[in-house]
Amino acid sequence: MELSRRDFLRGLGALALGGMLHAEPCKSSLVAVAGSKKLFKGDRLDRGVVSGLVHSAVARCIGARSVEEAYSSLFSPRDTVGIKVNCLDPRIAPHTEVVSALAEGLRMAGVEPSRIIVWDRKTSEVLKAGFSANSPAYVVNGSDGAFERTPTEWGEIGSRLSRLVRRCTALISLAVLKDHDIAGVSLCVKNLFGTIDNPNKYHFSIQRALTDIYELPELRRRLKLFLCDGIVAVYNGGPGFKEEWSERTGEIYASTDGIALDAVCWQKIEQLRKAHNLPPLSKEGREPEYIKLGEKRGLGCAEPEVVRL
Amino acid sequence: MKRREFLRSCAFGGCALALGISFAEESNYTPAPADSHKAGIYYLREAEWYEKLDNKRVKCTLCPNECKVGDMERGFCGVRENRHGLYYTLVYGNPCTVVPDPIEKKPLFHYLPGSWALSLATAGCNFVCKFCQNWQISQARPEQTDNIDITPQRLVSLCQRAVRNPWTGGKTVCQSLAYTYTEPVVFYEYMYDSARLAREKGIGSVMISNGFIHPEPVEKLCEVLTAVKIDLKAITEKFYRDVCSGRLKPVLDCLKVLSKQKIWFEVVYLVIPTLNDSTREFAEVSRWIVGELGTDVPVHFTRFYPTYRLRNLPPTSHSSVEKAREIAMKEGLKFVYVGNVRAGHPGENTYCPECGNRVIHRIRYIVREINLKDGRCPRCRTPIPGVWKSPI
Repeated sequence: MELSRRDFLRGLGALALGGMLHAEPCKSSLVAVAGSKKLFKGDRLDRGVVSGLVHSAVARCIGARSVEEAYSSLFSPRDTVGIKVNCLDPRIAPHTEVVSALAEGLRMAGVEPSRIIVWDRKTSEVLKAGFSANSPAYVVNGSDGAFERTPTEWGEIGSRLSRLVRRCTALISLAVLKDHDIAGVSLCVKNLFGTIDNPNKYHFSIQRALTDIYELPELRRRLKLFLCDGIVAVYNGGPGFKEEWSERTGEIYASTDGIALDAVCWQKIEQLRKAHNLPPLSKEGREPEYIKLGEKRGLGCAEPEVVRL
Repeated sequence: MKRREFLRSCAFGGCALALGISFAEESNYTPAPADSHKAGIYYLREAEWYEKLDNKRVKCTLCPNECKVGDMERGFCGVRENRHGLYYTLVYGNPCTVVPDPIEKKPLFHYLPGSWALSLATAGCNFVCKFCQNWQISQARPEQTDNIDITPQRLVSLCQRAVRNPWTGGKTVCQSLAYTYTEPVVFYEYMYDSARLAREKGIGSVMISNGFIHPEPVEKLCEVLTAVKIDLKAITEKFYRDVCSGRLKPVLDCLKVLSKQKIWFEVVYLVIPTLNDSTREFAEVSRWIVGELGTDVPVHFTRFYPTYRLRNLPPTSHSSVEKAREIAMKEGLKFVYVGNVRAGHPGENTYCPECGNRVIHRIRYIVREINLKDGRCPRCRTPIPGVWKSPI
């Protein structure tokens, strides 16, 4: 087999990263799924219940004995923590209550609100999704066209990173539970496309590009936690919100392994599709192959242990 | 002054000129919502070439990428967006640069030599060429560039009067509009409307393109354009796939359409060390042009300079483009040039293919002498193909 210099270096990089970062063997990846029937009070979310779900999921996914220990084991007071949200469509964006709970957890780890940045591609998108520019708990921001001067290259990826990436010492990828027209699903890994200037350039090689972006050292070394706000799911017709294909599922997913979390959320989407007589994503030629590709590269676990809370 | 500073100053110059613009009298576009203005998107126009699919999805039919775009997503070009089942161009009337250029810079050597073209670009491209010289704008989305609010009407009126010329420091009247720098195919509607209006006012329009466009839209464009330059980036599918994220065949098809349409066009082949610079490729590309387009098509072999994602290769040697020129002429092409070479290189001049008389003398982008009589060599009366006086 011929191995190009780039492939060789990439292989070395993956090995090194695998060793440095998420070095656990696949079987040790764990995804915590927290759900409650008391999540909604009528049409409104119960902030306290949401907070409890987020904290219990985070604590369980890293095996901490307390919520404070959980956040403190991932974040330090010196960190600037970016919570990367997906606000493409304000109707299917992470709930503000979920972000508030995360900010609360980060405060327990000693991170000041001024160092908690809730961000996406554009500030206007984040605000439209309901996040307040005057929140005492965090700062709202957007890349707003501010990207690094030169592209970062890694496999398929040749993109300029948002300047917010380097501003953050730690990142949380907070996704929503939704279907995606091209990628199959838009979860924690797809959420990372919001950190680069040219996600549109990967339409024709999206599965490899998703694996590559997840492997990108600039992101990998910062990504500490993955969460999916599965309070409402869009199981078909994404990434935009489609009322007819949406359902209140009332769950929060958490893991330190983005591949593992996406694998579990993907299965949830498949369940919902089946329940609504929709074909599996593979039948539509959009199975999220990046999950298995990611596992093959040692980036995460495609069949993790799932703990339901 | 750095190239980037130059472009930026031109953009802001254009921006100043555009202030106070009145809204178009016959507009098929609408002002974008106010919050889009902050992102440099001033107008919205429904795209022309697309089909509606199920579930509010659309299929773009403008270029061979044929993107299928979900609701709230963009096409590969990054400048066309599906908004609830309608496909919009986000760059109509929103160029990121407007500046006069010598027509030789395009390069178009057989089209109104010595004239100026008001040259404009918007963000976006339907390729990802790893050697792109303008990647900061071609690979960007419109909200990532400094845009100017400038309608087709305003563009044409700028062409009709003298505009500030950063090259000369004075003012210049432009004989043409040039859609260039990035990929004009992605701002098709803006280009088409501007070219149509320009034609009505006696002003030409030239498109500087990668030729990655479907035959139907390019045929329609030919009704309003006066010249085209196509970058034929290589003669192998492998190069197009690996280096440009594109395909060769549609580009060759586009060239055949241009030839059939009888519009004036020239071809540029950027020679990149190790990637497309073999004698076999020079011969093959030349033979294809001779066979399919004829011997009169001017072909420019230009030197590559390392940039963007191809910084690991050296600049192309002078001898490489000279060799390409020699091979192309041996294959029968009559007008073969070299570009990005030292000033005064003989390969920048136009010679009569019959008697060898120098009919146009160029030094870089400056035309020093035009020695043509009614489009013919004054010595032997051989016609020199090209557009030597205003085509409108």
